Amino acid sequence: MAEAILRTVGLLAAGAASGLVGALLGLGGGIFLIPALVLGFGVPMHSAVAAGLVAVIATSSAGGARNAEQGFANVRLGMALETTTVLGALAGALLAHRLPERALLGLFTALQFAVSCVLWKRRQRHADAPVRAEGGLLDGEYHDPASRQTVRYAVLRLPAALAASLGAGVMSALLGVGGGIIKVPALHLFCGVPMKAAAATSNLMIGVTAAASAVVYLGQGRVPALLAAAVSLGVLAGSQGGIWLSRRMSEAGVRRVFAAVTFSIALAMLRRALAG
Amino acid sequence: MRAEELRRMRANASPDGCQCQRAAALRREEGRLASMALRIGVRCSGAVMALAVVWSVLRPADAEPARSLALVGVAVLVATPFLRVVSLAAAFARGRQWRMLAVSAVVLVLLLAGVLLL
Repeated sequence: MAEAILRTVGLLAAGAASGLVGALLGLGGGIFLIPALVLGFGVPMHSAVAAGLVAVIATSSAGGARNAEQGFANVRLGMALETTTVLGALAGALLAHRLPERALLGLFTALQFAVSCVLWKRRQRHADAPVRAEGGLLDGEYHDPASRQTVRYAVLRLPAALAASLGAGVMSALLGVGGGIIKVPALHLFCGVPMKAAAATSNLMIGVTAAASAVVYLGQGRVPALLAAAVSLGVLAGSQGGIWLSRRMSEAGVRRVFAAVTFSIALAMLRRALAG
Repeated sequence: MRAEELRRMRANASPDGCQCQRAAALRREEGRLASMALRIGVRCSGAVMALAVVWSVLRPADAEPARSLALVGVAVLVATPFLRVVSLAAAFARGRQWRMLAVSAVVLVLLLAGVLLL
């Protein structure tokens, strides 16, 4: 029994850490959780991926419940981008065995290094200051407790965001990543969406992408229910911590943490690509 | 600089202030409904999953009922984002946001296609 308790506590803790990072940065957290389950708990890879998908939904739903209500997540923008994300995920699932994974990994890694450098160096510019909303269908507004300002922003270059979401959907299906790591920088750098709103909107969206795949896993009876439940409970608790942190950190702080995380993921991806 | 920007922002909002307020109220309502759907899903699934995990820890030898219970919790959690899309579609319909309603319909059709295809 002591061993069962210890394992459960470990799973809860792994879920909590993944939920915290996921809710803060708009990532699914699967990219940290899956290696932790495989290496730390000896879970087989396919079970870890299934549990990871469920954990992504937990991160997205717990974070989204708060972010949508307080306006951090732009529900309209999220819905618009979900069209191409889901389309990309479907295309990715159909193409999964026809594309060379190693080349894709290499491309993805190069992209991540570039994104992390741009985000780290970026100075305070229009996306960080309140941008005048133009009365457009997808414009957003939220109150940022850290800066004590109401931030209004217009979504610029929607086609770029749609294209990034399509790419995120394809990557998500091909590489088993959430796709937030593509969507968040694209929304922030190309579309003028403030970093916190970009992270919250991405966080809201990844639940739908993951749920589409998780249904298939559930239907095939491939979800390790108890493992997924323990991890998800941890995620639900951890994501509250992520939201708490996000409210208190500055835009620049969130951006820097995102850049650092992106850089370390890129390093891990590079190792995987080189190992072939 | 920032005060000047805020002043301009307010000035720009004023000509059609009434419409802006309505748009803001609509967005808040949409956020509230999406949030409610997610909260219901998270609380229900969280409660069932917690029960399952506690059961499995207390009675490791008799894991089958705990596993079934956990599966129910996971299924509710997986259904939660779908519930969110449906509730947002309802909010768009209520607010007569036809373009957003059409976008939601596209997402739902694609999700359904994905479930049927994969």
